[in-house]
Amino acid sequence: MHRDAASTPEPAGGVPLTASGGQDVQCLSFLFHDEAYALPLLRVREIVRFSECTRVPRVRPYVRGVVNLRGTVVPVVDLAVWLGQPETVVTPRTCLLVVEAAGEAGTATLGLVIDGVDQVLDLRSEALEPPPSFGTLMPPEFVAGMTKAGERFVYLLDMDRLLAEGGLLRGTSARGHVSSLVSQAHGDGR
Amino acid sequence: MNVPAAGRIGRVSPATVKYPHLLFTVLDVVYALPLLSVQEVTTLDVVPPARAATDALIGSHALRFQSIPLVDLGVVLEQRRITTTRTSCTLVVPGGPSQANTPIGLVVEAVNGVKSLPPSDMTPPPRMAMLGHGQIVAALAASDGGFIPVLDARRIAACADVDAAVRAWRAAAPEASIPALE
Repeated sequence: MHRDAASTPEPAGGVPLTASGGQDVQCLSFLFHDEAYALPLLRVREIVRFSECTRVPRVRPYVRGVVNLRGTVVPVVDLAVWLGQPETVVTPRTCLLVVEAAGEAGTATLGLVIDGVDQVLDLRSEALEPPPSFGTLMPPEFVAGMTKAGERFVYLLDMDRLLAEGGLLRGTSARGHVSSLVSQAHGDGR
Repeated sequence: MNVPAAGRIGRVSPATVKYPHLLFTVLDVVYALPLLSVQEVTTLDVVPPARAATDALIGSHALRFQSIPLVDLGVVLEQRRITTTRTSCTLVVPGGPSQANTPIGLVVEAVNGVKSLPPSDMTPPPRMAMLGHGQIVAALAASDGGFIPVLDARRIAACADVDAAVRAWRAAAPEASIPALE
């Protein structure tokens, strides 16, 4: 977001964008349904090739299953389904972005299905613009900001907000979250 | 005479298989049940229900002197019916107290075999975004780089889909649950 250079940058995606000493924070950008998103590199535990996962019965449709990551159970989340889109098509470039995020019940490790890894970006909070209010797949409340990288815009995901308010862990759909925001707004207006 | 599940799929020696689990396929996913929780494995022989019932209820099965309800495990697990083929069979598991302990036939796509799944290889399933309150996956057993969901027969029998199917089966043919020969 556009901020005064003298002000303290707000944490984005759960990690302060500008580290002590004024250094840039490295973010990993990735492709997701024809859009580029980014997460602070410190939040990314690893990137694994997505081949297949074990389906688990009686979970929300956006949980594609679980993978065995060296003995650890990692739930695989397809954000596209959570956003009401068709399931992400698996191609040879499809990866699993294993991220850590702080939810209501503590830190959660989960794998996000992405269309491919793009690049590592050095992001500075001053370079971030506010996200557009429409036109993106991801609701703007889960985007900490956006920046231009080459010819395309990259949206910095707010992973903690996605988990805490988006209800990924609770099982609320993105549509449900947006509806609740709308009803809250109507309630405020009365 | 009850034929043990293991007897239907080959000899299983307790010495070689310490933690025997029956592996079976439902909607292309391999699941496991502790072998001792399966009363027997039978071929799929369906008597369709007299009237339209729940999605999970396939019909009845004549298990020697008793008629038992046949429940599609695909509907219970993923709300989708399985496609029955010549490899499809029925796992007979004990019914719960609410079902008057009537055995229940769980229809699966195929039985794969028996495998030892020690407790050390099992981890609890993720609680993330679970649907409903009934958790029928008892654990995830690490196997060949992936996981095998280990189900709990008692929890399956107690879950709402199966309970509704058994009730519908009783309502459709109340005499079916009464043994034909005593």
